[in-house]
Amino acid sequence: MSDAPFRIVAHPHLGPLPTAETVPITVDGESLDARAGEPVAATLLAHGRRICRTTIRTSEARGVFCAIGLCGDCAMQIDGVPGVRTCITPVRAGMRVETQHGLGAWDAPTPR
Amino acid sequence: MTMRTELAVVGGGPAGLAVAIEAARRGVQVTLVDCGGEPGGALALQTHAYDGVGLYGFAIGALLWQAAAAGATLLPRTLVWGLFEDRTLGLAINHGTDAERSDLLQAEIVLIATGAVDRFTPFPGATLPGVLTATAALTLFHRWRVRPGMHALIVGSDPIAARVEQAVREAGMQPTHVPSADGLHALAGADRTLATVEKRGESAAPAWTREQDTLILAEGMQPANELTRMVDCAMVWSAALGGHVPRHDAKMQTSVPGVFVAGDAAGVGDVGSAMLHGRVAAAAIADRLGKKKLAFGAFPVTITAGAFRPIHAAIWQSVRVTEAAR
Repeated sequence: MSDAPFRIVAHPHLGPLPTAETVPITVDGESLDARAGEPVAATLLAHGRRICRTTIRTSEARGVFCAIGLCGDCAMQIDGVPGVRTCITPVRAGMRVETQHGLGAWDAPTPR
Repeated sequence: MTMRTELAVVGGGPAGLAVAIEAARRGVQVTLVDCGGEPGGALALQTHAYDGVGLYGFAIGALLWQAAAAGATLLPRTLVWGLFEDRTLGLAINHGTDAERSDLLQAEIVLIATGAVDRFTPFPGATLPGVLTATAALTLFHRWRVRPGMHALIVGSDPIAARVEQAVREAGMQPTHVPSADGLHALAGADRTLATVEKRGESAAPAWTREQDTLILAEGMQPANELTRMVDCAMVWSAALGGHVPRHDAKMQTSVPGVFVAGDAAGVGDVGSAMLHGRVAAAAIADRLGKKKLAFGAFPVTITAGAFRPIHAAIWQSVRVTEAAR
């Protein structure tokens, strides 16, 4: 699956994009190829997905704003847990990512 | 279980790493925590070469991190969520990963080198997906290697705007630059993300309208001062230093004994002054801990430090103004 044009595959100072293992994740049911080690938000943007959640009262769209874990605008539901900041959460094989509406919804608790 | 160390450094950018290198050289037991997964703090995002060294920012960051690792305990991916009396830090180790765990770190001396965060003026549409801070844009381009769109409007007259514009070009996007957010309205397209930016005048009529899928706020940085405020360090306002900064003496100690600051957290400056702050603070801390006195020797990277004196002049002036007002 091509993720052009959003991946920066060549950079004048940083050189070519290093090779990375491909990690499969699903986002709202769609399978996406992530690069091992990158945050979830990077995978989303690389595939042109800019909306992470919608607000609780007015359902406005929100996406990555600060990218360093401060603002919370990129929060999504990950593996049934809402409010996870995707800009500082690394991808994991089989991760289930969902757009969060308002406060989101928890999966039924599972013992761990 | 509470961990203990002689010196806890918060932040692994140029200031914190300079402290760790210089303090370890003087025999201080140093533990440095950084919330990022990669070395160098904001340096790791800079792809321009610095005056006085022919090195790109990210290369300087990596070099300093390596040097610090030789003498100090480095805890990357560790968020400091609190600083308490008796200089105990609350840590979230392996933050954001499945291996995340909580711990406390108690130190004889704490040095805060948390750097700076973006400052911006809100305007209608500033919350749309596609609107980013300057730090976010650099993080996307240089760390994540993604571009959020193809056309970026860069807003701000701070020197950082010029660097962002260069970074936008290098990321393969088309940059447009406007000096101020006055009158800006960001509008969504059918996909509910940023599609158009308008500049409106007093009549609310658009002076211009541009198709832009990305808007980058580059209006400057302010000191990240949460921890210094948490322990009630005396703060002063200094426009020249980017906002509220902890009052500190020439050895970088704040009004709270045993709590030091360095780098942008002590007042937004440049990388050279951040490293000098760090080295000055480290020497004072080593003295305080009764370590042997050493002259400043060779250092892994030396950067022209023209900003050092102006920064100190600015803070002293600010301190005088504050005290006169009492």
